[in-house]
Amino acid sequence: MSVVAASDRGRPRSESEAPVARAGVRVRLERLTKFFGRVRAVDEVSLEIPSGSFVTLLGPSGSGKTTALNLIAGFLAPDAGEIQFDGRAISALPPHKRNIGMVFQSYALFPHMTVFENVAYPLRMRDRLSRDAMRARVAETLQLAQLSGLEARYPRQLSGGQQQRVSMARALVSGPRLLLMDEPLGALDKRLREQLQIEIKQIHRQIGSTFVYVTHDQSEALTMSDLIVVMHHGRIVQIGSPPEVYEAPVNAFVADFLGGANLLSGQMVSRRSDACEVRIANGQVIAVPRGGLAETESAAVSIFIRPEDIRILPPEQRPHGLMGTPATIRDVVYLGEALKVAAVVGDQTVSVRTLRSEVDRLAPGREVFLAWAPQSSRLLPAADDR
Amino acid sequence: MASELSLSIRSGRPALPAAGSKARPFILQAILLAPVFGWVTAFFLVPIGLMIWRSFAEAGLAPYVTILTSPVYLKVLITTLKICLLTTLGCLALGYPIAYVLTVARPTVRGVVLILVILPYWLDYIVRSYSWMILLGRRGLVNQLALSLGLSERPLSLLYTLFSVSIGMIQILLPLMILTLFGAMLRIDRHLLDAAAIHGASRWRAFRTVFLPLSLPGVYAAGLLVFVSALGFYITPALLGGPEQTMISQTIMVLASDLLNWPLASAAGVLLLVVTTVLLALYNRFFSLDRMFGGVTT
Repeated sequence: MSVVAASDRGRPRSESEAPVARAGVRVRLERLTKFFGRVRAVDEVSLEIPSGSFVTLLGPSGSGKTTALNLIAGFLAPDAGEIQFDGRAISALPPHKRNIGMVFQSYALFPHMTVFENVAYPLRMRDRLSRDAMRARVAETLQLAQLSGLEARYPRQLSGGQQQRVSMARALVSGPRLLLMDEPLGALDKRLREQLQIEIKQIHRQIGSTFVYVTHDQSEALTMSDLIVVMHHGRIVQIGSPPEVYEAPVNAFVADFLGGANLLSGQMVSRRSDACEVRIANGQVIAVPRGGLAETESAAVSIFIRPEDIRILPPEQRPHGLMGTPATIRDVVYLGEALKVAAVVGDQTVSVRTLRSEVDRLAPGREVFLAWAPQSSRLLPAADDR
Repeated sequence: MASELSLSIRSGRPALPAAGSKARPFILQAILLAPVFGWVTAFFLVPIGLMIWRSFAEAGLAPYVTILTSPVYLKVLITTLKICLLTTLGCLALGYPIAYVLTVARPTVRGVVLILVILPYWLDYIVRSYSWMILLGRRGLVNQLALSLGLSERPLSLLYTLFSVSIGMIQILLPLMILTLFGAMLRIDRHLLDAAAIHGASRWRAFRTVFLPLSLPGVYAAGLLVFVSALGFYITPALLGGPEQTMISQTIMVLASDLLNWPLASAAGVLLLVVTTVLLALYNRFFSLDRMFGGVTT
């Protein structure tokens, strides 16, 4: 670990010198289980987090994502299973010996310490640095977090965004190879959240540590992650890159949780090697690529289509190569950058995102034809889990 | 207090439109507060007023001069402060660890410990003082144990000493110390200890660098509460102390009922009241009083 000499602080230095760039920890969870009373908060979770990756645990509240994070941190002891850092079992190690940085949802800044003291805290506890070296390191980290000049303030004198940055700086200052973040942006407004998402991502690229990020916000997960782990009822439902989980969800829960999906329920009427035909509620038969689904003929299934993949056409138009169904418009909502249209198909409502310019064409009560490219739709097991 | 009250009534309702509707909540609050106000006036403010008046009525400042210059009364004052300080420190030393355990313990353990803390509080303190006499007397339990174990040749004089008074008062005031500390400690965000741990602090260092400093306002509050309560103790020093441990309340009692020197008794009472008020005012200056009973720490 290189310590920056006291004499050359003050000027911004190159990125490679920013708080210690080492390879991130490779984290492995093996059949990790944690009970709260009789509830399996985390249920046989197995997961391989590659060194230096940005992995997001995504799920609704109660899905076990925060519990999983607390197990990695060591605040909770697992009831079964194992946690490994770089192939070494660490379940017996107390939190303060795991060499982790962490950003808490509530920031958990020490109210009786200044910004400087808060950020210096991990150095004081962990590293035996000289006074000057410590000062230099804190100054450098504060600069990275854009907090220079606020050293003498107390947390209560800072805005929410500044508190978040202090919390980041404290987690980063001792150059941990693993960084845990528990909904760090949850308390901030949308604009600040989006800005900090980008900054966190930049920091991740710069320092190369492994980041494990917990959130219930799907757009945050999609923006920042290398890998998204979707959790539900203490189990992992799907692991994949953002495009994988967004475009190819494994079930209705994932489809719906990652941004309002349409799930048209229907019955399988024919099944070929490459595609299936499904009869939906209004009698329309729709062809869908088969994907990996193993459902038998006449099984209840759902057709998954994203709102932005649907086009609204006049009722008489049946374009070649597109799938679709007649529908009646129920609502048109102006969103600013787009229109959100609710259309009725049989007894189901389909949500469509379309261009603002279409507003003149669309009015509640109008008959239309909803069309989409077959490859943008997918077949999922019937949506019962909601 | 009355002016503060009306101030908060006015500032609490800034946006009321009509004068008629402005009067109504005031009348309602006046009606609701009247019984308490009447009670406090009749049984607290008036007697205190009488006491203050009586201390000056017969001989002007003379009783105060006597108390503050006569070695006898000065010694009583110093003894009182010494006993109160010992009691407070003793309560703190015993109470802080217990309050800490209460804060970090599992709910079941917390329940049991809380009951153990509160139970003696419900027992009359005269009974508790007498039970110390049984324990500490010449033929008391402690002495018999010490003699039979050969730890001592002759019975130790434990009773009627500074030790016995302090230990009796500590036992009586300990629940107050523990409960006040516990209330303050509960308000410390437990995530802060997690944050300390994950960033490299062992349990002991997390306690020292985070928990202890954040619990200090609670320590001051509880210490002050115990000290002020101890100032007025009468029964315990009377039962467990000797002449050397005479406290100011006992002196007031003797002055009033044996010597019938009402001006001097009143003056001593006023002095006690002044000391208490000054302490509370000092505390309020630096910490604000409502924190003592559950205000916000951070």
